[in-house]
Amino acid sequence: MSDFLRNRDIATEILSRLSTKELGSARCVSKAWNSFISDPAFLRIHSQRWTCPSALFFVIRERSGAGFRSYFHLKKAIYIGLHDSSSKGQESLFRFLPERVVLMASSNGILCCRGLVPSVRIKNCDPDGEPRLELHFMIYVCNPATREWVAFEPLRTGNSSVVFEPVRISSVAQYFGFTFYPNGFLANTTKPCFKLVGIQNSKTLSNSYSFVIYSSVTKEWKTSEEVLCCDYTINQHKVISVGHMFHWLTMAHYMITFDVEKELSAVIKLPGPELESVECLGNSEGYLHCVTANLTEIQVWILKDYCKPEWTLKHKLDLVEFCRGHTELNHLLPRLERREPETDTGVNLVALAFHEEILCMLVKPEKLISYSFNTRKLSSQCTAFAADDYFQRYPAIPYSDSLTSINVPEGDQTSGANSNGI
Amino acid sequence: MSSSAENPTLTAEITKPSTEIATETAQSAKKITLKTSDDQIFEVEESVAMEFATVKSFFEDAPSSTDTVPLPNVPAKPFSQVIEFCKEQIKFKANPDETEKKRSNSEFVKEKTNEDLVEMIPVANYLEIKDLLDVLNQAVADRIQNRSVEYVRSFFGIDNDFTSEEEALLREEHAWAFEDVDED
Repeated sequence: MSDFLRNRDIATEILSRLSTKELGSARCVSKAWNSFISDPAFLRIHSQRWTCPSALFFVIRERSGAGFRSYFHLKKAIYIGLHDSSSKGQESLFRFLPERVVLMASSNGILCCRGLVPSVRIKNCDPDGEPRLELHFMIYVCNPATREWVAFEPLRTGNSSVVFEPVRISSVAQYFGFTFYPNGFLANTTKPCFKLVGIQNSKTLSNSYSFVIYSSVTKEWKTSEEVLCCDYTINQHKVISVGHMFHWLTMAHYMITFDVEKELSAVIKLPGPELESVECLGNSEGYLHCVTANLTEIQVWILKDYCKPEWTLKHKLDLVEFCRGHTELNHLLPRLERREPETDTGVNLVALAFHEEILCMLVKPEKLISYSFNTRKLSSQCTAFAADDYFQRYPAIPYSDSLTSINVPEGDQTSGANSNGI
Repeated sequence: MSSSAENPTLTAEITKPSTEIATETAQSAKKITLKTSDDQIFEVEESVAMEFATVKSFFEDAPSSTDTVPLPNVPAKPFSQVIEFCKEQIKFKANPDETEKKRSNSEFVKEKTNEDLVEMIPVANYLEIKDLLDVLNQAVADRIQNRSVEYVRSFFGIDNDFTSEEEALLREEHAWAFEDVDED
């Protein structure tokens, strides 16, 4: 059976049933296995099979500065494995990148980060000859499982309209959404590629947003001509992409959407009554989902048609029933049965993220649980971090590990690739 | 199932291969003769043989054929195990019970050696028995799951062709892939 790989269909069928972690180990079996497992055709099939989140990232923010000029500063990300409760600081996870970074977004196994410390450059291009300081963060798109990465600047040099002001650095950079297409995004290209979309206040119109787009195909930024008139303030960190659609939660019961292919934006009302709390947006089975919660249940809604934006209720979790059915949640019952209004500090069950039919929730004081709507199974992890401090206030970013290649061009100075080709 | 090479006697002409033969009437006695790569003759009930998509399409092309069907890529040993599986499967066709089917499938693979499983896969693939192939692929994946690289090599009989430096480098790259491996 040393010719196991000779029938590629069978080998693909068997090996694609192994998790990404196990594949990493299987690559060491032999040279033939290593090249078979690194083959994009194989990895494509594997990633279609393994879409469930393998970990959650929590991005920790800290307030820095004081008073009027204070702003939230992205500090670091914490990784929590959903299968093995392993937790890792980002130091060990992003060690392969040339500088310290903060995580911004995750899509199909690929992460988008930006540098922690801005680079400063003196520019002399103003008509009046005044030298000017320009600050920018490098952006990194990487796969921590293969340590492949590519870096680029947030916006093209020479485009003076998009210089970040120090006070706004954090906010602007946080609004980026990121999507990775493992199979390309056009019918005629199957090579992996990615796009970033940033939302910012329009320079020309008040109460409006404009959009900037980066494409890994053109390797260029461009400002979309689309302008969205909208009064709502963007809710930091709450951006999610589903294929070519980007969604930003606002502070109101509405979200902003942007179609990166057609460059069209819209404002869409969120599901449920306005008083109900919208916990998170999620990507599952190719559609946008929204998780809402009230005192008695958690609801998962699906949006299928953006032209006729109607949310359909897909899953409903009766909290009392749910907690009664799982011994690890029994301690929450008394309070739920009394229907005691939860205060800010007294929320015991918080939906953090929804990804591919898996709902991740925080159970105070220190448990992270994930519930699969497909298998009706609950798994729980103890976390080493105090729930109050970290999880509730910070966005949870689901991550599904994958050996998919970002398709880093060879010989690129601002990129790195692992030594696949031993 | 008889695996002797005695005279296969075909009772009636096969008129139309059909999966509807589940009705256990006189027709169920209808047998089809199959010859493996190591020249063993198998007489298989038609309802079982129609589980093999390859054999089924043979009869679709030649509905009235009474010939022995040659199976050039199928050795007798794994083939008899494949027949065992299909005999179980057709019971669930008349009476579908997913839980019982799962139990029966896992029972089937449980008592097979690694070698048995690995030998049956190409047979199931050649005969296009989708259900069995799925069960076997999952069983093999389960057996190599969370095992050491050395175990996987011996499972498939693969020689390590990395130099120790290359292997060390690759293992270091996938450092996180080496946590929590089961004992062999």
